[in-house]
Amino acid sequence: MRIEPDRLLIDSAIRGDADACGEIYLLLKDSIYSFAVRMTNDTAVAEEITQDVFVFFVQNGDRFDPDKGSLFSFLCGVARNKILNHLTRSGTRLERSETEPGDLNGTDGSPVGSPLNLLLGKEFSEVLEEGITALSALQREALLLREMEELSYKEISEITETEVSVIKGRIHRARKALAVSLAPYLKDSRTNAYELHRS
Amino acid sequence: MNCTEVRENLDSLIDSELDASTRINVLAHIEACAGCRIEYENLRTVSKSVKRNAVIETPKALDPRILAAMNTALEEKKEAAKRDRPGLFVFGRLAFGGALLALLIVGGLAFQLGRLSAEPAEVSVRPGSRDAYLTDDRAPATKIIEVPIVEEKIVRVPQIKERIVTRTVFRCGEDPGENETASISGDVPLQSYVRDGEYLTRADLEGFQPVSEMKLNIMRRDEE
Repeated sequence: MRIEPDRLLIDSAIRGDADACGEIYLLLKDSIYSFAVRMTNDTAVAEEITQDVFVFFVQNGDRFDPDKGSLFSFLCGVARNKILNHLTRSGTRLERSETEPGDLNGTDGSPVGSPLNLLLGKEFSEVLEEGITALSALQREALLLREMEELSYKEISEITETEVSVIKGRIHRARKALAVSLAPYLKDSRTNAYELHRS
Repeated sequence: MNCTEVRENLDSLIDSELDASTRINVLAHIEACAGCRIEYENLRTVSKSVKRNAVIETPKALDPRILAAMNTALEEKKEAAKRDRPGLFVFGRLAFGGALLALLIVGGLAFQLGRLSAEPAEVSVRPGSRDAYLTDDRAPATKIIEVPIVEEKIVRVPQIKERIVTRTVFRCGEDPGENETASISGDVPLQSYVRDGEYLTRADLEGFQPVSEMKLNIMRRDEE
């Protein structure tokens, strides 16, 4: 669980206190790094983005306005811009249509929750990892900010500059896609799969 | 609420984004509807699973690299700030020397005694008195030249138990001797006078160098 730096610490860091800057890094690094890794699926790129985010904070910390949200939200917005730039440069599509079947497919094209994958001995977490990776970038972003950081829909909408209703829809579709991927591992999976497809 | 309405609200229920009345209605429906209950439980399982698996620890090797980059950025920012404000920077560097210059040019040690309200009392500052001498608690061994205050006038000022005035202390030469304090203080041309209700002492400090900022205690006569 992320611990949000308090106001005094943030103010000290913005004034140029190196110790305070270091402490803020230690408090928020895992959250920023995890977000970057999950979004880019590339640890080297995630490391660069994490570094860029905290250097940006040192250089431009005075842009942070506590009335507009937490410091994590501010840094997450910075990380998001860098991630989107990376994804755009690498030709990654940010969003798929709701009806596009690719949402439910694994990286090898076979259904993540298919018996084939089960026969291959994939563990639950591996299937989950693949399911998260297979989500569209914007669905994954909304889901991760919600689940990892427990941000409210409103906070996520502010970071992503998107309507709350859109964020709600992205989280809903992301969870449904993962539920289908994980159906064999869930209770009453057959019923569940049926229910999910029917809804 | 029907099943469609309930399922539209399942994520909000999991994320605690529902208002109280909608939450009660959704929970009541889930209790009664097996299909919606299963979907709710599975979505909640997905949510918990993602929560549990999502955080990835930063590699240890990354910490020194990023902290070093942050420190470099911090230093660059400070340097840039100095470059952008040369006037202030120069002022900061010369502020201490400026105190000496101010004394030489303006020629006064101004004690703002007349502006504090209280019942008036007479304050006398005597030459050679320790009460009027500069003290240096931080570096008692420092050989300093005390610029004495000459008792020429009894000034009527508001009652002040103790007045702290920050001023510059001066030293003459590289290494003044033990007795140099008195002799040099005697050599410093002084002129005391009252101007605009302030008690001023003019000191000609040519040849003296500031060594630190000291505090001057001026004691009331009745406390002597």
